[in-house]
Amino acid sequence: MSSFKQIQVLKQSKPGQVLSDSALYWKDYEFPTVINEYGGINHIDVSEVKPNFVVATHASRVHIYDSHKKTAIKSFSFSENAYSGSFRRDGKLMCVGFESNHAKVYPIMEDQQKDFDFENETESTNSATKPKKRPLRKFDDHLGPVHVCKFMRNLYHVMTCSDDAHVRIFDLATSNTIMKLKAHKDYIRSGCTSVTSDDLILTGSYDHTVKMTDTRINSVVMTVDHGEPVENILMFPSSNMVVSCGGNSIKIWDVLKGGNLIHTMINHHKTVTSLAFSHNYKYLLSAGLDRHIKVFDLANYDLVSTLDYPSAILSLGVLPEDKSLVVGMSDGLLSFKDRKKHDTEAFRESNRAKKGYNPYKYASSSVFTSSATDHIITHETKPHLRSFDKQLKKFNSTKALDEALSLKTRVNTPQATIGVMQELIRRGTIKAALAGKSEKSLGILIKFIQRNISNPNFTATLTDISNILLDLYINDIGKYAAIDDLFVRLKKTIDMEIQYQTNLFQIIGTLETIFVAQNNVTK
Amino acid sequence: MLLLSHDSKYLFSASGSVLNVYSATSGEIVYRLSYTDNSEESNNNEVKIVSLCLNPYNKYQLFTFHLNSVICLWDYEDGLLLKSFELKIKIKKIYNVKNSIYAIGELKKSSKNENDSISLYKLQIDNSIKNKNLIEHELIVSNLSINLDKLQFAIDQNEKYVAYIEGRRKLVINQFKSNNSVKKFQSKIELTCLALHPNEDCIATGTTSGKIIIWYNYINCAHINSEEDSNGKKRNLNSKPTESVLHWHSLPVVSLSFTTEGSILYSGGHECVLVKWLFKTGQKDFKPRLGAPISSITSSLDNTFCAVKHLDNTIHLIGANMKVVQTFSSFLCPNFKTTNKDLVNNMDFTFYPIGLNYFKKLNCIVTNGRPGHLQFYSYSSDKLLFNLDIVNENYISPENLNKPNAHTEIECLAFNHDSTWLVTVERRNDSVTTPEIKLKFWCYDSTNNKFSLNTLVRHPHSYDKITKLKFKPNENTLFTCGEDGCFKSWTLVKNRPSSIDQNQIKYNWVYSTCNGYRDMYPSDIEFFEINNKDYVAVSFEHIATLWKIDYDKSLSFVDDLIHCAKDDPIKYLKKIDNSNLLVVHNECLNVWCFKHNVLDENDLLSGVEESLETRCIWSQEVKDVLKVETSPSNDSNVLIFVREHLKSDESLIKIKIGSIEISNNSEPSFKYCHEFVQDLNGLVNFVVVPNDSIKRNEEFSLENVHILYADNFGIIKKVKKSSLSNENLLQNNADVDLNETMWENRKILAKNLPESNLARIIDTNKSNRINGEKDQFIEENRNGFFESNLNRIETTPAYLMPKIGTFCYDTLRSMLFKLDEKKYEMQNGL
Repeated sequence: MSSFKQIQVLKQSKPGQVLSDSALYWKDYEFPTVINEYGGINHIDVSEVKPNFVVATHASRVHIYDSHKKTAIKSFSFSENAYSGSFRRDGKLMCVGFESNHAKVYPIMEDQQKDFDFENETESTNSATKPKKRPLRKFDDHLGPVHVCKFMRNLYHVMTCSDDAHVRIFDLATSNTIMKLKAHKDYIRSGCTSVTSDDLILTGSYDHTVKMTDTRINSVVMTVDHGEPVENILMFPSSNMVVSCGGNSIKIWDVLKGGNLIHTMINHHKTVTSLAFSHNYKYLLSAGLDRHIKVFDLANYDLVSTLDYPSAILSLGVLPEDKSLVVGMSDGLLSFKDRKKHDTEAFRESNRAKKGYNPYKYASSSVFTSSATDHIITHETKPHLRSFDKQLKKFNSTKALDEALSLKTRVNTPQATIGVMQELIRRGTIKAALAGKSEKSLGILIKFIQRNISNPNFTATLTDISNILLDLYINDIGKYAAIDDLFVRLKKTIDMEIQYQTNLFQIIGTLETIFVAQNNVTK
Repeated sequence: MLLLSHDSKYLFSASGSVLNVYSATSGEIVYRLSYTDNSEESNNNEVKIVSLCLNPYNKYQLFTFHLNSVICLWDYEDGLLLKSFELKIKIKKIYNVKNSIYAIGELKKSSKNENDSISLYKLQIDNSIKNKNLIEHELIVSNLSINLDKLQFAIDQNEKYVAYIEGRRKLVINQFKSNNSVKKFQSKIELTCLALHPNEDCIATGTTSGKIIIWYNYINCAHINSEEDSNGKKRNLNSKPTESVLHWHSLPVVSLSFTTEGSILYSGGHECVLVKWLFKTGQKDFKPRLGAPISSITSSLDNTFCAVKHLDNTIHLIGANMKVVQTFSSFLCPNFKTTNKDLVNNMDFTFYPIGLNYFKKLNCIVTNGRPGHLQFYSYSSDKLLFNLDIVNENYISPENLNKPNAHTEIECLAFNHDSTWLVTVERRNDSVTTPEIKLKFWCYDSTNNKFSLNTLVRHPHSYDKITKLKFKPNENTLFTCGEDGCFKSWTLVKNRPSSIDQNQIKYNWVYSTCNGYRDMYPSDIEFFEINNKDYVAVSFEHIATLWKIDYDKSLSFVDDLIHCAKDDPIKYLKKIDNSNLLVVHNECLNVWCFKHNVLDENDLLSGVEESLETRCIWSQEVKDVLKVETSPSNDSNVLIFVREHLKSDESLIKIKIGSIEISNNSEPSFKYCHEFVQDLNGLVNFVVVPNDSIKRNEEFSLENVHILYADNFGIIKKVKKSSLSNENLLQNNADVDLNETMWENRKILAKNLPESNLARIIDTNKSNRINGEKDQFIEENRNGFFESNLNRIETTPAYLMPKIGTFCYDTLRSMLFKLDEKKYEMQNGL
């Protein structure tokens, strides 16, 4: 009829928070690929166009990386520090700001074509002898180092911000300054251009303010005070909300309400250096000197996930569709973290093929298909019974308990031992199984109880077992020193456990009074 | 009572008044036969079957012996009652040897005389149907001192003596020829059952200690007590019969059976193990874990298998290789006779603690089955669909039947609104060790009809019992009431996918909220939706409380509804119509009405201030309420099942079915619409299931539902509909309308018969006729004469059929006919 049912071994449930969908989404990245560069990587920009090049600016170099191969495909080195290397929207041009008060624009695409042509034979000679990477334009009207340099949405203008507290807009065709505005009172270290408007730019400065400027009227249309030197700013695509970071806080501002503070997030414990939107603007990522990237859900500003990095993070970039996270750190590490590739059927199939030929394998169901007239007999496999299950099947209670208390079982899977004990209790044969034990096996049993009785999953069963043991061996206590010793030790363990529980209850009581008091105050 | 037909194609099993005829090969029930007494006294009751045996003169006929000493002769192949006649003996048991039938019983009219003793009679059967006095009896042995509780006796193959158990320990051999030759042998252990070897003079007796004692050589040995002194040495030499012992059982042996040749002895007992003894050598073979204790064993006449009947009404056919060939089971009765007898007779004791539940997806009833199992019973086909193992533990028979083991029992069960989730609570409490309580969530997969365990919660309400489970309608939220004084809610959440297959999203049930009220025990839960807000009503002893479910699923207390005195606890809560709550106290029914009031709408900023007005609008005193059910079709109608004791007879109860209806804004109307009388046997469980055969009307009427009930007899019964509408007192001991189902079952027979060549021909003919398909080949070979012959074979009952020889030739010729005709034509043409 029915087959023998084996002991149910308790699965240990793991306590812990239940991860939300978005948390899972941001945990779903592979181990990072890390490239070591010379200086702290202070800016990263990601091209929105298909090959998705990544430009990283560090010290006097600007490197362009292929985001798939994770290798530098092009590098620019200068005699001075470069800042804010960023792509134009179409990925064809790149602008870089320099310490010596100017900004330059470099081409990407044509140059690369040539690179491909000569790469194999003449790469070394190329880079050494011919500095082929000549700038297309050079803007040098600023009076201080240019820290921010971005293309406007219309592709023909470049916004630059400098330590001279000025914002300038250059025309790409003529290299002339179209607009000049002294917007701030201190270094401007962050800026961004609107994605939807040709005329809106946003600048954040060390004078703690974030200003929005309309280039048409050449004046500041909105000013908000962040409260600390602004390190980075972002504008939502609709340009009605602005995110700024500085110090250890991130603030979100409503532009339409004239710069109303919507939300402040203080989750970093050191300066927040960089901000980025995820794909679809669903999440906001922030990186800080505290070596964390924090992900916020922009629907409710909840912290969704935290990613850890080995050193202080200066810059952050997100590839389209969140395919990869590019993170630049202060000690020159550039880390690429790719999203995990999920197994498709084909992928699994190829994996299986890799495992090689297995001579013992049965024909798989895909190879052999039965026809309608075939009489199918399923192969019955006898379930493998564990040693204590075998004894239980034969109704050998004592032997089953002994098997369950064997070294391997009781140490590796105490829950199986507990399962056998529970089954014997259920069968009503536990007394018989526990009676007449030798001194040695009694010692093993009591040590097992000692070790596991404090586990809340086992406490109930082991308390019952101890009670039965006491009932059975009450007459032997006082006769044999060894048995006495065992029971004394068991008592000690239980006393300690009770002491521990009492302490815990005291702490809970104290905490509860505090919580209640707190609630009353808030009410 | 179990019997196999001569050719082992049919299995007969009598339970109560019904004789079930099963087909051994298909496992389907073929007929349910029962005899209705038409005499005035018995009031058209069906009469209980005492014993049954095959007609020794006709292989296709069967006798049933009824309690009122009526004998019926059945044709089991056609399910027809051929004859019924009355006998002057009150028959206790029948034994069938070769061509004669022996009966143990007492004379009917001699009941007032002094010698109303049990005697052995031989029944003489006249084989001709025309003769009216078919059966006559002949006294063989009078004054049998047989133990009436066990009624164990056997007659040897040569019809020379009868062996029976007297008292507790005596085996008696009584020779037919001379009344004096009675031999009594004392056994040391109490004897339970007896089987006589078909060929040799040897008797196997089972004992309470589990030993099987086999007695030899008892004919020639002397009676121990009598004449020992007067007779010579010769008798003294073998004054004791030879005994040998077979011992495997640890509990009493309940049934023994020899095979026809006597080479194998089967024995069974409470261990749920069938033991096969090779009789000569004593070697044994086992069939363990048959599921339920064995109550009787019968081996077939052709040695192919033996039929084993269990205490839960299951019958197994077990082949000679100890493999289960076929299982017959209908509604299971989990009475394993280990429970206390007083408890069984208690008014509130039931074998089905979870009650009867209706499972929509399979259109069946779910209730407790074997220990730790749920049985899924289809009432429409009277068949057990399957047993679902909930606790996953082996059933271990107790070491001593008087000290039963505490088994893990399923105590509560709930299905969610679309029957995709099943929740069970199992508990084991032996009142010595810590009780084990588990809350299990099962997911139903309708593609393969399987339940799979999804979440297991140990000790959901610490170590206390759970009294109620209820799903929130249209939402995956479960509420549980526990005896720890709080009610908890559990919700379904998406689980973190494991690292292996991340595409698969898993769902799990997790604990959500916990609330309590005044240190009282919650007993029932009901859900409301008033003005798009969710409310939950929870009863605490005599108080019903109302809670509001907030958006974050936390509960806030709204109101308490107190109407009755403290000593009248609430049994059930039932929603009527979404704004009325029926509160069922032990002795009182109350209906509360909820009204949603908006107090202040002026101030926009502070929000709308709302309140819920609660009012008790109706109250009625009532007796013992057994169950409250909403009718499946109509929300505003509630059926109430009430139990009353009959003053005239303590052992009978009257069950009344009442209905409460609330039409718009009027007083609820309450009336009893049906009542019937029932033997008192524990708690009666009810279930209301929709009747599919009648098209559902908007109007609610009892016509639209079946009401099924079960008590501790282990039979599920249906409240008859005619009685429901007529509002008459009636008897409904019958579980099936026989006239209705008999011919339906006949159709099933045609379906369930094993495939034979003839059956195949009939089948193709029939299906062609039905489909109207004109297959070229069949059309060509169609032959009217042959078909008519087939029809004749098909429709004529076997006993009306002419001799095979007379129509066989015609039939065979008809098969050749067409070919001949063609040839003839061809010859003509040429």
